[in-house]
Amino acid sequence: MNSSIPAGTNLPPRASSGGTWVLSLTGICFLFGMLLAMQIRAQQKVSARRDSDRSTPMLAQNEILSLRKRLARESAGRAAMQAKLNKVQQDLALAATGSLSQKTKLQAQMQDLQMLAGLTPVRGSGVVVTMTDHPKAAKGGGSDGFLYGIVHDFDILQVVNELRAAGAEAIAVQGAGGEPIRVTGFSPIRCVGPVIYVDGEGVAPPFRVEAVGNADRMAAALRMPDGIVDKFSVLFPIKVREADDLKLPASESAPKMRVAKAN
Amino acid sequence: MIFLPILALAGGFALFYFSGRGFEADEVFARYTAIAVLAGLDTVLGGLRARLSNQFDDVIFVTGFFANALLASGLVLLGEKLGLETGFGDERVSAMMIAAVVVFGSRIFNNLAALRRMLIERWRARKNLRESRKSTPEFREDLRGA
Repeated sequence: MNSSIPAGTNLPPRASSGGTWVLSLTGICFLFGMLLAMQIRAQQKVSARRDSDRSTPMLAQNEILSLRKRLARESAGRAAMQAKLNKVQQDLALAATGSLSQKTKLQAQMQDLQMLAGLTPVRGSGVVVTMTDHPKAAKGGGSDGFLYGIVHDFDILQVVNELRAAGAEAIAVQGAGGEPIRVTGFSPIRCVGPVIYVDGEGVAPPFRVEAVGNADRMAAALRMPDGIVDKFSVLFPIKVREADDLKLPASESAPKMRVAKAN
Repeated sequence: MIFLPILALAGGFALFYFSGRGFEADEVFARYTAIAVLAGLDTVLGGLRARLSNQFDDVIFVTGFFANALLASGLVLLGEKLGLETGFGDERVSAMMIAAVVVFGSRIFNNLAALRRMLIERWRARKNLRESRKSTPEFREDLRGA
């Protein structure tokens, strides 16, 4: 085209002749433009599809569905767990109330048994029997060695026995200047020499036997004709009095079961 | 004359971009045509460069266009068939694709640099010639005689 260009003087001669290069370049450029356009179009479509894949409503719908399913499954599991928990709680509450009622029952039973055994202080209405040595009782003893007119251990024992027979619920013996001593099923009443021991403790006249129970019945039992009072009053002074509010202490000596076993 | 190829380029592009649907969009297929486009661009630039350095050959140019495009696509395809890939799953990248992109990219850059240099040299030479013509009529006379 431009023959006045001084460049390329030492280059080999032009391989292409005339203006055919323009034609071939034009054709190739046309093809290249087509290819470029195709490629760009295709790439646009591809990326558009990729984007739409990412945010397609169908996909979201599927996700929602699967999430809903999962939610249903989880909440079913949760309901089951809740039911289980409720049951366990109910059982626990039942057990607690059961054990509570059992406990109170056992406690009541224990209290009853303690009262029966004389291990608790008791109070209530009953009778009081007072006995004392006859003022003119012999001091040295008779020809047979028996001292009439003084209160013996078996006298007290007899009174206690009579009271028990008359339905006494709790019995205590009090010596002069001492505390009342609760008499239980294990309490010995005996004498060693001139001293009477009730449950291991020495007591001195006048004696006071207190019994809680049906006062009328016990008083009547003691006063019945030819009964305790009749028999003893010829020997020494004995008085029976009904009392409204007696307070008996607990027994202080309970035996330890060393040989006997529960059967 | 140089506007003819540019017009053809724009025309072909417009023809397919605005009217045609191209080919059915396929991610796998589009990858190979991308390499073909890169090879075609390299060939066109190489052709222009050859034209400016007076080394242009029609047959070499036309065959080079198709051969480069097909070879580039084919090599990438072969690489994928051979498992020349890096990465895992959807993030896989064809190693041959990288090779083709690197090679054609550097060639395109080289071609562009050479074109720029040639064009600038041409422009300077023409300017010098014009100035020398204006300033020294004797030389002009001399040239005319040559």
